[in-house]
Amino acid sequence: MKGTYLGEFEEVVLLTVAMLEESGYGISVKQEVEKRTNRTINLSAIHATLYRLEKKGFLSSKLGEATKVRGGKRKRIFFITPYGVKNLKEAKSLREGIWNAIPSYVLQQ
Amino acid sequence: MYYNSNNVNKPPKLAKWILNLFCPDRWKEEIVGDLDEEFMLNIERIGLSKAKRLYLWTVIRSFRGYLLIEKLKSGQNQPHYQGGRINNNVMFSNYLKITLRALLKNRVYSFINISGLAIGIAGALLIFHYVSFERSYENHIDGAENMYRVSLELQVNGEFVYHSAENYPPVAESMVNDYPEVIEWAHAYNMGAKNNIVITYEEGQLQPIKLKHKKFLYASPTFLSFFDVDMIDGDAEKALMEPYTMVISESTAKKYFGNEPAVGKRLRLRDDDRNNENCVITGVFKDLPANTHLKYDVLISTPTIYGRWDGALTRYKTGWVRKDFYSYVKVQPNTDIKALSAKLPAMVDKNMPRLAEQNAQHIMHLQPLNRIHLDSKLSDEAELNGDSEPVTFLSIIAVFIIVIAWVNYVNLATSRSLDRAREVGIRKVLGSLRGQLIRQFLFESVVVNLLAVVLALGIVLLVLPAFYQISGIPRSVVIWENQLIWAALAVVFLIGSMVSGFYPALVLSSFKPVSTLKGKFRNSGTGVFLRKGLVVFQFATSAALIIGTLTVYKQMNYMQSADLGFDLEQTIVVERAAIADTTPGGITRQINTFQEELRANANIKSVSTSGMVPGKKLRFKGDVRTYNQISTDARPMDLMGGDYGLIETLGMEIVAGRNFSREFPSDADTAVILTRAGAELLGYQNPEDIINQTIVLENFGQAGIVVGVVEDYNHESLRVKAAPSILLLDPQWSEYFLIKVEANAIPEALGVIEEQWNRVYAANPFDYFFLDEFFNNQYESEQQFQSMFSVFSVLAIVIGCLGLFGLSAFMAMQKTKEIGVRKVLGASVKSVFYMLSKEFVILIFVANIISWPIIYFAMDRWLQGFEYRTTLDPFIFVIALVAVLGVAVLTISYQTIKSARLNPVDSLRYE
Repeated sequence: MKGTYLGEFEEVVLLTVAMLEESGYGISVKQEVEKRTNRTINLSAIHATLYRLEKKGFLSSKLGEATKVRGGKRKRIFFITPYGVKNLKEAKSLREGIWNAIPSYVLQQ
Repeated sequence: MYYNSNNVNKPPKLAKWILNLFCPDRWKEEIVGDLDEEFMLNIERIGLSKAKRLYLWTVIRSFRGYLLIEKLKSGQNQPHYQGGRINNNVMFSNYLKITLRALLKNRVYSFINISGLAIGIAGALLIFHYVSFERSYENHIDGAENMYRVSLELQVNGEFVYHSAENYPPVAESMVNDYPEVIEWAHAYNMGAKNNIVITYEEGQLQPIKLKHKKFLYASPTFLSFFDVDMIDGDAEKALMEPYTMVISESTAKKYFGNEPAVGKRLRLRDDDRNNENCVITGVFKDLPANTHLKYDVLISTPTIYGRWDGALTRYKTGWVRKDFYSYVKVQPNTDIKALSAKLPAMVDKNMPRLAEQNAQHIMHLQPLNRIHLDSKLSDEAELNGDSEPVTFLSIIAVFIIVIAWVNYVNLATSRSLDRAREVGIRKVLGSLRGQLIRQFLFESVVVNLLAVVLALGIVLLVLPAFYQISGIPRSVVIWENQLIWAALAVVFLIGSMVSGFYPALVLSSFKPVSTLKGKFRNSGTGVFLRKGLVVFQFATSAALIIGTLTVYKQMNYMQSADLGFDLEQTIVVERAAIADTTPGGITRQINTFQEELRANANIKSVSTSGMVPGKKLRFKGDVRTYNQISTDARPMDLMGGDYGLIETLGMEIVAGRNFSREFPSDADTAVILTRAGAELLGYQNPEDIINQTIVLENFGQAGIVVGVVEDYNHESLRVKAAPSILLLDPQWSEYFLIKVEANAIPEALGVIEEQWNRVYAANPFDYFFLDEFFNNQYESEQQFQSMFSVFSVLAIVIGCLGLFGLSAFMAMQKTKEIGVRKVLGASVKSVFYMLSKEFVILIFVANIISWPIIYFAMDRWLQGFEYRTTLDPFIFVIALVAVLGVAVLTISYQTIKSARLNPVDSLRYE
């Protein structure tokens, strides 16, 4: 287990899942991330990140309904866990702390 | 769009299969679901084929650690007992241990087994590479399977005259116009083969770059798109549309312009027909692969030549007069080619109504483009093609090599069964099931085959340089990039593991534990029979290969030492200049000046101009008759021009009459010399009788008086019959200079020739070749076949001997006790040796008797392909028998003598 460390891409995916609430699964997460970061991402990268986040306890999941568009296969819907929320907040406050510590003239460059 | 199982838009099967391999079940449903959903979205976004590729790519990218670990974990959690089935995976480590122990315990056997297999696999792979290269011609052209070349067969009075790869210029185009199933056409005139061309880049150059070009075609505007040529620069559809446009290959562009862009620059084309044109480069194409029958690096648009003189348009585009264009058509997929061929006579009748009056028939044939290299051997081929027969023979040898290697494995494994019997007994007593034992021995064979495959790759790597040399495959065709090789390797490995392992596995697993443990085990009768059968097979193959190799050698030897009617030694050939003095009389003046100084040189024996060079197809053919015959009796003959010195320079033998001579001034206008076959064709069995007869060259409206007859000579290779031909005295018909030099003075002579050339023909690069080398180049494919055939035959024989060595060692060991007893009872070493080798000798005789008729038939068929051929020598068959016998006896004797000389005390104490 990799511990609580949250990589940049992981953070984006985690945030996206949180944003999508009840509708975060492979494709929707991928599309959302692609839209926001304006880059092409391979579906496998999203899958790998989602499962890794689940393993770390940041996400939980359940199987959703089967739909015709998927050839009758169910999708796995991801939710953010309270532990995930806590970590997101920590990551955010870590950054804010650093942001606040940057002398203002540096930011004016 | 909804996902529908009947929908053609299905994700690639391969991807799904890969995914199944490593994706844990827990996630399979959702991952596949996501992939399919994305796939559906992608089809609309980026199209089906890209979506498929992306699907596969995503699957490959999904090949990540977390999935694999999960998969392996799920595997581990399975109980060892599942409904009474034993988990065999646990046994694998044991199998591996046993296998390695068995291999190490009998190092000699293992070595023989693995190296024999490895050599076999390596040999088969190399042959396979050769065969797949030879068969890959034109594969790079999109739609090649629907493309045909239209060849032209000429008959007069129902008699075969000539079958040419070339045809009339409008043939292909009119097929497109007349027949809806013919959809595209292209034609090309083989400029490089017919003319001397020098191309110079002069603009802004202090020293113009001038190069001679041989791979040069006049190509129709349709040519580039028809052949799906890979363009680097320029538009394939338009590049050859305009007059004075030229398209060149990447490497040619590099030669003239370095790294500067070529398109838009101009090159000056000059040839020996006095054409002098400045052409603009409109395109650059990627260099052609080696496996194409029509090679070119310069293409010039046919519209360039339409305006060269009055009537050029008819000559090169619309007229059914001169037949010298390669004509290609593309038909719609699934076209009935027979039906299409049946329509062609009507096209000929329509366009050439006068043929019937002349009692002549033209038959057009459609040759599948991708069979041209192996199957087509017509006149005027663009290059010396390959041959399907050697390719077939070599494929057969490849199969034999590998089968012999497998036979070795089977033989050794079963004959060693005594050794393993005890192990099998114990395993059975301990509760092994038969299936498990079979699996164990199959596993062993998998390990041996795997080791052999690895070793084989090493061997291939080692001999690759030599292989490229003897096979003639260009080095640019890298064996490792040939995907078929890997497929073949996989197939050989899988089949080898199964086939070679299966029989020993069956035999070994069938032993009854009680008898094996009691030591009462004996080889079963069928086992011995099979083993003998396999040995016979090996001997038969070896004998066949020896006979085959020797016959090929004999034929090659025959061809190279045959009396061609020529003396090709010490002769240097210089092609005539492309750029010559065009003032009146200038050409003759230059020809004379060039030769004068050479004649004066002591190192040069004789010089002659010539309209031909042995080894190259003659360009001209005309109908010939004697003056008192009617014109329908005219017979086609090869025509060539030459100087007074030609017959002497080429060393041709005059059988009747005399040579051209300056002493007869009338010779210059009228003298002709025929070959013996030519005289016979005109009805003169005795060459003396045709001397001083007048003959008429129908097509040229010319007449001549026969002054001499020369012995038939083989202008081309001995594959074809010497053609009846006629030699005209015409010093200006000088496509070549033939220069015979003194032995040991070649460097000096070359120096003089080059100096003189540069003086007389300054604008032309100097180039020369040796006549004997040039002539023998025609036998290149036979030579390759010979070396390949002999190398791989030796290989097969070596592998066979390896197996024999192992087998005889084993048999001798088995009989140690018997030998001991015999010796105690007074047998000599000689008699023991006789006893041991008797069986093999019988087998060898049986093997030879089986193989002789088969190889006789095969070699006879091969020899039929040559007009001039050696005979199948019974002596060779005897040699093969003796050779196999000798090798086998030598191999066996090492073992038998070793055991025969053992002190019986030792051998009897054993056990």
